[in-house]
Amino acid sequence: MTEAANINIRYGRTSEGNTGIDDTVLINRYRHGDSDAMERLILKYQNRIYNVILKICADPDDAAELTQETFVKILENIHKFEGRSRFYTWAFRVAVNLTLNYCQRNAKLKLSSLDVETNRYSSQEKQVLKEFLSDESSPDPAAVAQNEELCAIAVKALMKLDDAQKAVVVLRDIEGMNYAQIADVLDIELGTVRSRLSRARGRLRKILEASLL
Amino acid sequence: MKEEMKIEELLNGFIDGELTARQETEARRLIDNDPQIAQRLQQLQKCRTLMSSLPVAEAPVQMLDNIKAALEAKTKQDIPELIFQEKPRKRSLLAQRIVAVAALIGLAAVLTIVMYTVAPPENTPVESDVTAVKDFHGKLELKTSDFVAVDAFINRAIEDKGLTGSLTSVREPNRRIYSVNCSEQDVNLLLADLRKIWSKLDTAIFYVETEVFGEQVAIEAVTTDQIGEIMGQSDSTKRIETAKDFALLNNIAASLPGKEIASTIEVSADDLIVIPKPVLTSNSKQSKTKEPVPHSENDKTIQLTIVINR
Repeated sequence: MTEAANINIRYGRTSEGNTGIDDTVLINRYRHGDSDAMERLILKYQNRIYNVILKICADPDDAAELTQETFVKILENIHKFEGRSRFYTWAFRVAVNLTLNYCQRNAKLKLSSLDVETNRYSSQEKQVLKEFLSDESSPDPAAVAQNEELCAIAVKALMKLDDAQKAVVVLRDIEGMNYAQIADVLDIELGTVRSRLSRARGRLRKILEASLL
Repeated sequence: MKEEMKIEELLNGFIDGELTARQETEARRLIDNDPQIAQRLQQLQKCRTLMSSLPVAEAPVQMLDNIKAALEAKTKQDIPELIFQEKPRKRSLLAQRIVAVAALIGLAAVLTIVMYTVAPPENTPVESDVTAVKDFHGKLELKTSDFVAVDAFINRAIEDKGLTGSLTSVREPNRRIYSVNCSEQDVNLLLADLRKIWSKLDTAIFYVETEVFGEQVAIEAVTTDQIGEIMGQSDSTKRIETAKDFALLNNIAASLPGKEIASTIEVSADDLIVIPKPVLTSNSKQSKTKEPVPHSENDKTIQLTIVINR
C-alpha cells in the first residue's frame, strides 16, 4: 500500500470523495479558471494541514488562521508550482514554514503559557502512563486512541519538544510521511531527518518517564 | 555515546520501515541478541504509537468560505492597479501614477546630473537617448460564453510568446485580467494568436486612453487588425485619432444591415499593419519566438491589459 493510501485511511472521512482526481489535474483546472477545482484542493487537504499545524502550534484559533493563510499563499502562488515535487509536499512545506515562523515569533509567549499547562499531570494520568509504559505487550493504537488520559499525556509531552523536533515527529507519526517527504517539506537532508527524529523520540521518552516521578 | 546514537537511529529506522535490507538484518541481529536493545525498541514503539494515536483534529467548518473570502479580498486589493475603474477612482489612480512617474523621472534626472558631474563618461553622446517610459496603454475587454476555452487560449498564447515575465494576472470566478508590458512586436504576435479565437467572443471592446484625464476612446466590435493599427501609430495623437476613426466606423457598421463596413475592414487587412504570425521552423520552441528581428528605432513599450468576462 502506498504512503498516500495509508494517510488517506487515517484521514478517511476528511479525504472522502476528493481523492479520485489527481492533484495535477486539479491544479491545471484551477489555473484555467475552474473554481470548483480550487475548492476540491482545499477540501482535500484542509483537515490534514489544519491537524499538522494544530499539533505544532497547539492553539486551535492560531491553527485555523495559519491554515487559512497557508491556502491563500498556496493558491496565490500556484503558478509557481512547477511539479518538481508533489503538490502534497509543497503544500505542507508552506504550512510548516508558516507555522514554524509563527511559533518562533511567539516563542516567549508560548513558553510562559506552556510551562503552567504542560507540567501538570493528574494522578490518574500518571497511573495510566505507568501502566502503559510497564505493559510488555505491543501497544494497540486503537486502544490508545480511545484512552483520553493517554492522549492528553501525549499532547503535553509533544508540546515540550522544541519546534524543529515537534515538526519532524508530527510529520512522521501523525501525518504519516516517510523520511524523504519530511526532508522535502522541511528542506533538510535525509540524515538530518533520521538524527532529529531519533533525538526527538529519545526526548519524548525522557519526558514521559520524568512525568511519572 | 556515538555508538548509542547510531543504534537509536537504527532502531527508529527499523520501526519506521526506513532501513535498507542490510541495515534491517543488522537491526534484527542487535534486537535478538541484546535484551536492552530489545527493550529500547519496545519503548520507541510505544512512543510512536502514543503519538500516532492522537485524534485527528478537523478544520473549522467555515474554513473553505474563509479562504475564499480572503482570496477575494486580496484580489480586490490588486485589481485597481490593473484595470480601469469607475471615473473618480480612475482619475485618482491616473493622477497618482503621473505623480509617481514624474517623481521617478525627476529623481532619475537629478541622479544623472550628479553622476555626470562626478564621473563624466567617455564618448558621451551629445543627444540623450529616448527615455524608456511606457508609450502606450490599452485595455482590451472581451466577453465570451466560452470563458474557459478563451481564457486557456489567451493564457497559453501569453506563455508561448514568453511574456510571463512581465505578466500580472488576476483570477476571479467569472473574470480574468492579464496585464503585460512588452514591445510592439510582441503585442503583434500575441494579436496574431488572439485572432484565432475572435469568433468565440460575444463582444470585444478596445479602450485607448486619451490625453485628457479619465477620457478614453472605446472601440466596440474591434478587430485584431484595428488594435494592431492603433498601436502601430507613431505618436499618441495619431493613435487617438485612429482609435476615434475605428470607433466611429464600427458604430456605423453596427447600425448597418449586414455590417458591410466591418467586413470591409477585415477583408482589407492587407492594407493595415501586418501582424507577423509565428512560423515554426523546427522542433525547437526557441527558434519560433527568439528569432532575431530588427527592432526599429521607434520600438515602443506597450502595456496591454486584457480583461475576459464570462
